Amino acid sequence: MRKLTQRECTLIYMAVLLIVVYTGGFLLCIPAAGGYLEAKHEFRERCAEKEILDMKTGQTEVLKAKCEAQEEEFKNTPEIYKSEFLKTGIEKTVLSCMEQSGLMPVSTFITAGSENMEKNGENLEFKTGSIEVSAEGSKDGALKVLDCFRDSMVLKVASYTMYPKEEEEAVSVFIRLEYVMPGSAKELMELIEKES
Amino acid sequence: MVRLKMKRLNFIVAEKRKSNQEAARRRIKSVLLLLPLVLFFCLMQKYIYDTEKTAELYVKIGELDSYLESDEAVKKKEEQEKLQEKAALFARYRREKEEAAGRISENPVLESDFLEQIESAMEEGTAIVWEENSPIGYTDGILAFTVRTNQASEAMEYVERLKRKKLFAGVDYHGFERKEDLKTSESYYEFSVECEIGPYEEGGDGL
Repeated sequence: MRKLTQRECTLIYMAVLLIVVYTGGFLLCIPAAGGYLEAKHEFRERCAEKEILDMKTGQTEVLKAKCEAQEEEFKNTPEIYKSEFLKTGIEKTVLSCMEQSGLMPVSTFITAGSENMEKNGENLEFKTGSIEVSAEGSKDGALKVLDCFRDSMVLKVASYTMYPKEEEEAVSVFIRLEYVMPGSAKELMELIEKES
Repeated sequence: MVRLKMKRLNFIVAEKRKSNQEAARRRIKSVLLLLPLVLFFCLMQKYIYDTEKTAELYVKIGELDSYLESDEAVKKKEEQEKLQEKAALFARYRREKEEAAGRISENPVLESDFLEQIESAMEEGTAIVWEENSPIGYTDGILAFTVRTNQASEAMEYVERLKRKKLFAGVDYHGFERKEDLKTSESYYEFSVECEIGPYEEGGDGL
């Protein structure tokens, strides 16, 4: 077997070195670079999470104050709005109007229902229904009672009938009132009660 | 002699050129031999740098993880989520309340003033028929009642007077009828009036 020339030795040496360098690069450097990029990405994600948490923590006090103010406002709203007291709330409001107008209520009848409405991608829920009330009293009272419901944000007079009673001066009134109320009131009531 | 000297000089020049070429070849060979080593060294440097930085980053990630998973942070997150849910519920409630109020307010509103005005528009000899079987009634935005009068022309005039008050979206009458009082034998006229509750519109009867 002949001896390798110096030139051949050099070429073989260079080829081996190149193979070692590129194989090493492929086996060590590329996974290391990939791992570094992965770690960098993960680190950025954690930093963003921390930033969000810190930002939210900063906003917590503002949000808390806002929620407390809204809760206080909700607690002060008339019972009529709170679904839990829906029937009693409506009846109470209507009967107090009758009393204020000097009418004597004879009977009341409530029908309740609910309906949903999709608006701006949000499902809004409403408690709806009607209350029929008949009462007796003076004609003045029968007129005055209408003003009691005039500015109501919940009730509207759907039908109204006034006719004289057998005795003079006295009148009988039959009023059917319809109501539309926010359906989430009950959920809010439960949440507030649970927290307290 | 000169020829010998020239021969010798040529030989020296050729030797010098040969040695220069040899040196250049050697330099190229050593550069070529060193190049893979330099490349290898650079790649190793990069590998060490990447490995060290990755380790540093994982230490930092660990610190951040322990902060994010700490009881304090979890508590903060939960509190925040609860508050957001509550705020969303309040916002929904407000929207529902506004929507409900809007639906109520878009309907016509019967006021006591309307009932007072329909009486005040009457002349002498004209009155609302005030009996159990002909009440003053209001349904679906229409206020209806029966009027009794001694004069036939009063029906049109009464409706005109009501229109001039600009209280209703529309006023109309129908069922004009001449009747006779069986007790007194006096004749009178009866007609039904319908007033549409709503904002007054110029030139429109509304009904």
